[in-house]
Amino acid sequence: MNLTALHVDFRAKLAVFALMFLLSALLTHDVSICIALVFMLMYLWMQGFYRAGVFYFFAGVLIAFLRTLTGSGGVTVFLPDVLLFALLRISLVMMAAYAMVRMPPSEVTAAFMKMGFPAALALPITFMLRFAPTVRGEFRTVFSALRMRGLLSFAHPMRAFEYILIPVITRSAAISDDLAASAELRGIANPGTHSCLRDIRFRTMDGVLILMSVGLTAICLYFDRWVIL
Amino acid sequence: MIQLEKVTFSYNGDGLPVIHDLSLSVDKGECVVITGKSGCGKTTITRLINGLATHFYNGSLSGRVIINGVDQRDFPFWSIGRRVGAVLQDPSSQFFAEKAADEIAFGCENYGMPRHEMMKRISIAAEKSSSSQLLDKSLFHLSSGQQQCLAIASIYAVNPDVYVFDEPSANLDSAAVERLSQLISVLKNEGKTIIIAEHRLFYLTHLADRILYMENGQLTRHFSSAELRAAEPAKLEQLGLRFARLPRIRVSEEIQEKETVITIDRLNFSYKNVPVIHDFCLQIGKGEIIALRGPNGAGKTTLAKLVCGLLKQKTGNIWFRNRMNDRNQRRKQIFFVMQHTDSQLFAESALEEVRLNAKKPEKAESILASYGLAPFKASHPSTLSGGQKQRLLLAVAESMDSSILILDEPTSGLDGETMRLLAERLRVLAARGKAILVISHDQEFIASTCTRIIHMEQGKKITDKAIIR
Repeated sequence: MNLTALHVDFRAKLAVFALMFLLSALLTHDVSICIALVFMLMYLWMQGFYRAGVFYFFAGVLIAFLRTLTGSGGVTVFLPDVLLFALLRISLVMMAAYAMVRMPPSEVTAAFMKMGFPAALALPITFMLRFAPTVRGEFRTVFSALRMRGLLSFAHPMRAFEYILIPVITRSAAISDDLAASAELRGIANPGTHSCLRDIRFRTMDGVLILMSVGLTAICLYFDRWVIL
Repeated sequence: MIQLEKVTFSYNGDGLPVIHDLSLSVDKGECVVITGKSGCGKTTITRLINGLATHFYNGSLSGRVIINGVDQRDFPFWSIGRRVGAVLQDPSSQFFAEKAADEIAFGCENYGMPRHEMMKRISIAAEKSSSSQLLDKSLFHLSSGQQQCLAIASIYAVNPDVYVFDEPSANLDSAAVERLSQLISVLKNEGKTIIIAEHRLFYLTHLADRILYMENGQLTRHFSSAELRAAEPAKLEQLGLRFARLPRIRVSEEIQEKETVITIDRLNFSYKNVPVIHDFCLQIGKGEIIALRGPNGAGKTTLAKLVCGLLKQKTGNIWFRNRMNDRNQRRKQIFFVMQHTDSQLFAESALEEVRLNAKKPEKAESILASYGLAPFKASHPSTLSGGQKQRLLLAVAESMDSSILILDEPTSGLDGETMRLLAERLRVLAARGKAILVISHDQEFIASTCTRIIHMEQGKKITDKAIIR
């Protein structure tokens, strides 16, 4: 069993997420966002999320490139500039969120408990982290079924939307029931102390990471406000 | 160890009771199997024992459920897992972690077990469930059988005295069912009390001390293992049960030539550069019902998706009546009933569901009736039982008049009666000239329904034989 793999503490990830969220809201120039994207690529790479890191990084850079190329005029009606503007910032936040979503839910619960979060807040977040990939899988199945029945049509978008939504909701409700039942049956709602198989410790490396993220935030904001004209 | 005293239970306070005046006593170390037709209330008994019925579903209970001398209602819900471990039907929907080791640790973590103790228990649980080599693996990449073993291991690590299983074999292939049987045997030898709600009985006859038959929320018959094994198939059929011994599938190398509907020629498919389907060739004839068998991960579902056009092959061709059709054309000729029927039903009523794609909508009602679903024509599809949903999808396929029908594990979780009904409908469709490919691990179903059996492993066809009746 390999439990010695280097990993970032949840609290440090939460701090990075908060800072990236802040940057996505405050930065006005694409160049400064791209600087943050480079940092986040290294952040994900360091944790072994190579594919996701490269994907979001290049997606972000491509969007920034498209915006520069079109002089912020957008690419046809399907990709207006406002959408590209939002997607670029979302890709930055997604990179920070990805590292959190991929954590074992038990580690998240234990970290929340250690931070003194009430269970009423910690448990739904843990549950959401576990549930996200399941819903993604359900959407895939429903799309396949719709294609089999020839019901996926752009001619009737509202009807297609309804066909997609109803089975996804039905299946998600059933799965979430099973998941919640299974978690309750294994004591997730225990009001006492929860332990964690993985060592929940705020290491020096986590502190350094937060400091680097704060530094990056400061540099990006400085660059965005006073260097780029 | 477990006592149910004059228990009446309903999920909605004023609704019809699912369990009616039921009493049951299970001794420590006993292995009891509860069986019966779908909807008879056996899952509810497991939920009463593991506390879900009252604490999670907030149903209305009269009578008492006593575990080890204490009324179930006196335990806080979170603490029940220490006494009663529960394994639900679909292991993949009960996992909370991504890695196997984290999943086994989940219960121990919630009960605040020290880390060194947890590590020890994980090792023991993994060893007992033959899962030691899986600890670093992602649960989403494991077979259903491996997932089920890990679900049991995660309960074992908490070390409860009582184990409750709800249809644990529903999604498993025969090798995995064998492993499950061995694992239950290990628990029994350790003196654990075991309650299993199950349709498939063949793997439990040597383990069960008692087999209880349920009807309409009451226990109406008791069998010993020996009695069940000796029971006439006709009697079990009458009770709507599956057989206690698996029928032998007699095969022949000589496959009858039939008018070919579809020809699969040297099909290859890779996922993330890993070959999944390798040089697969097959001809399916009119009126044939072909069983496609093989271990989990053999590539059966991928093959089905390639044939019906949901996936695109890397190389190879698929000919439909000697014409090469592209994926879009194939989707019009082939209907694929995937697992999880809920994801494939879109309309607001069963009748509307059939009308949605019907070539002749005016025939929708009669098609629905031929599947025994006329009384449910106004019901929302999501309110139907698993077996009814399977039949509804078959009715949809019939209304679309597809030449080829592919079904993925259509009998998973079905009782004997519904399984036989489904088998009969498939035989009717085959007699009308449809070509049918069924992915199934269900030997009882294959023996009674299919005309040909193909065994697949690692994306390759290993054997292709005719079934003799």
